[in-house]
Amino acid sequence: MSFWGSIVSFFASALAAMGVGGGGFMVIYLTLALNMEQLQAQGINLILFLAGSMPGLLIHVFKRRINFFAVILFSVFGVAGTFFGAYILRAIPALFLRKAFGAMLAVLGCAALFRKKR
Amino acid sequence: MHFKITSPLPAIFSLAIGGLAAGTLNGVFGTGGGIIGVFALSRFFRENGGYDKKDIFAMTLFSCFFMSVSSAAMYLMAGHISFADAFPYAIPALAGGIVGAFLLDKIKTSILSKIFALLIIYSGVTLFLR
Repeated sequence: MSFWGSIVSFFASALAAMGVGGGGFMVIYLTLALNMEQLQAQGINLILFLAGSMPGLLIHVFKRRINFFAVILFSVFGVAGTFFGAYILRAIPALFLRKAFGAMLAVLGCAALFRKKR
Repeated sequence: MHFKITSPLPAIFSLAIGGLAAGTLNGVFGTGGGIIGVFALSRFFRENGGYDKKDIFAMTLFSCFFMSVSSAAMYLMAGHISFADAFPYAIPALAGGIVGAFLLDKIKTSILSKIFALLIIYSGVTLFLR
């Protein structure tokens, strides 16, 4: 792994932990800069997210108000959604997956940019 | 903190739909569930008792963690990745997570979020057109 890979991994994780969003950034680096296969990049990103989010989770338990009812409810359906997502993933060709990922990022980026503050 | 659901069924339904959508994105793309989580949980708590933005973010992070465990397990079982592939990046990611978690309370992230959103849009369009 290169020096730049470490830098990108560090900042993507720090930004995600700060609530800015960093999930797609590592996938972008791995696919565009290292020409990695989209599925492999997505998988690596998942494991990095797990590694990077653990410190934050421990801190949040002590510092934040966590409503475990809402978290469990959302998570149960979220985990069910991941099975559905994995099922869909089997039917998506690699090239289309990369383009779909790009489109998803553009849409979510716009949603984040134009989201109204309440 | 006192918590009461004023309209249980619609509230539970909206969280369930949000969870399914976030999980589907997570399963297909390995990311992307966070923003749906923030939206769904913000909406839920707007109607059912006040938690601030950072509390919502923390709860979203918890939920995304569970979803990512599920998705990562499926990627590993399907052979798309191995721990050896990801391990070199894991240590810097862990360090970044520690720093980010401490900075969450100390830095105003609104401008950073906008810059990052622009970067994500640019990257998304580049990936799409490539």
